[in-house]
Amino acid sequence: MITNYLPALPIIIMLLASIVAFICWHFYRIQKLATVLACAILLCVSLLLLYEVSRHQILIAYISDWQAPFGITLVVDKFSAMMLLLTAIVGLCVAIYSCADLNHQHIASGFYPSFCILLVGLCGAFATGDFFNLYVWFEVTVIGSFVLMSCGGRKIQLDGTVRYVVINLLATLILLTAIALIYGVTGTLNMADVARDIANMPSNGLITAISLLLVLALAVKAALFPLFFWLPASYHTPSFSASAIFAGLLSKLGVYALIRVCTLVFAYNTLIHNMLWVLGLLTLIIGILGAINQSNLRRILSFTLISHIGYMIVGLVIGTPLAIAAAVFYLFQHVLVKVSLFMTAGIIERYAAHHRLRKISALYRLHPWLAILFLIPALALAGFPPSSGFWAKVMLIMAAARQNASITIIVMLFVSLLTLYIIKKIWLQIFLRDQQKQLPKPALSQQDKLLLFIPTIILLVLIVIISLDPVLLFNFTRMISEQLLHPQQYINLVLRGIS
Amino acid sequence: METLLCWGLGLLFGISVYLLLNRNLVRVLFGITLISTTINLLIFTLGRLGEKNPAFVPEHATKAIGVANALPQALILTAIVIGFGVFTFSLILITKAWQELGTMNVDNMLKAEPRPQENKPQ
Repeated sequence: MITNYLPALPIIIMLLASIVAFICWHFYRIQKLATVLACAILLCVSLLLLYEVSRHQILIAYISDWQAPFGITLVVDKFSAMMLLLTAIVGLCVAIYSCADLNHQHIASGFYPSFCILLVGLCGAFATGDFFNLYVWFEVTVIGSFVLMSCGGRKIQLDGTVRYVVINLLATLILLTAIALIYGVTGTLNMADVARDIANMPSNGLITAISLLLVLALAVKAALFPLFFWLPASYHTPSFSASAIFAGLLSKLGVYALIRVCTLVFAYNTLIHNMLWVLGLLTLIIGILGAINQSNLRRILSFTLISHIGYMIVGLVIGTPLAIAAAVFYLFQHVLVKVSLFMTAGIIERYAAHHRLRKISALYRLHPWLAILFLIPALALAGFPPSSGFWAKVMLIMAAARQNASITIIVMLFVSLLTLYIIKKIWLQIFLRDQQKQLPKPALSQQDKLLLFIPTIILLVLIVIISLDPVLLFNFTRMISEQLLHPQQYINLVLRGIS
Repeated sequence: METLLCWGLGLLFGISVYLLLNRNLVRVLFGITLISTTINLLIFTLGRLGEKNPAFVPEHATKAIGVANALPQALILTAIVIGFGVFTFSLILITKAWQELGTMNVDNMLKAEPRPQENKPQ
């Protein structure tokens, strides 16, 4: 009986944690403990889900025993299980990190309850098999992230939050419009049922319009080229814990939904395909060009985040099994790299007491460990061999070469080079440049240091493991791409009650 | 009836987009509220109008004839509740931003992304 509801378990765990955190509003220690504990349990559950998925292919939970197209269905396939695992890893690391990173004002304005709500939304969105339910989880995620973005209440935060809130609300409303139209056309909201209906329908203008609306909404979430300006305007304003979890998971939610929709529902739409190809390449170039001229460490990281989303989109549109596997591989390692970079940026600002590159210097001499902590994920971001990013890029370029997509290859290599240039710039500026100036001694207790460094080092170790032994992850992503490219199995298993 | 509603929906979408394009945050907020209401009406229309009876199905019936579609109503109810929560949050956020930043015009909010000349060292 309990295994029937296994896909719902991550949602329930985080929901309980957020309730506990809400009740213990004035007891900060209990809030911290509940969040970290819930994330640890979430990690165990997601590992269990991964194990079950590798045995049974797909896990399905029919909520309240309503059969497939009528009730809400939670579906966890290999891709969802991987995203849930990532959510758990990142959630746990950020939860530990936040214990030392946040000040009282952050916690007093409700950081931990909203953090748990954000994870509830993410777990739900990764596990759901129903379009309207997807919209609801998107809203849950968005509401959680609004509070995380604004808590602390500095002026710069309010400004960033206003931009973030308006654009993200609009995107979810466009998503709802698209879902309403899907319901009007097919009469169902279950993803598998919709996929079957649309595959049997002659392609007409209405279907194209719906798919464009859907892709538009998800492209705002994923921060693709003409729609990304809200991201660098807001991601550098909240606390470091918040921006780490945003950078790691929130923008990947859009990428996940795009991959899901493009492989399951609108698999053979050439217009969407060509449009995403062009947008992916433009995102790669424009994003990285935006990063060159920035002076704030977190803004540089935000722009490189946007740019590297383009790699996953390009992998998705090339569409061969190798390319999809490469995109998913890229996604996995990129989440770890980005979260660890944002966390390290937080530690750097704590030590240097400033966020402008110009004002920070000589960190290599003063804190050599910090330099290593920054350098390894940064090189993985640029794709320096033999880092995890290198393997992901090699796979993408191999996939593109087999399709004779020469411009795509040139753009990918060019962006990789520019990323390396940006990392070199940061490295020279804040680590090597020596102004013979003693930095202010950071006011960090031993316990704070442990809490800040341990999660960052855990992520670093994971990145190093993937870098040295990419075969394990590669084999798993190959299985994911097999599953994504053969949606018939997914559809048949979900709808087994009626067909 | 459905044609009339569709024209009305088009008009409402137009008005909300016009409001959303404004630089004044209050109007943007009204635009968001209006567009979410419009989408609720859209869901209602797409659930097919015409049948009027409430969806109470007799115990051993296998077919429900002449019954209004209950699903769009459930969806709209969910969307309304979410819309309320989000509207309240945005309203408070904009009030707070107005108090702290002293402006409602998005163009004058320059804290997060200062103009280049304000970046230069003094």
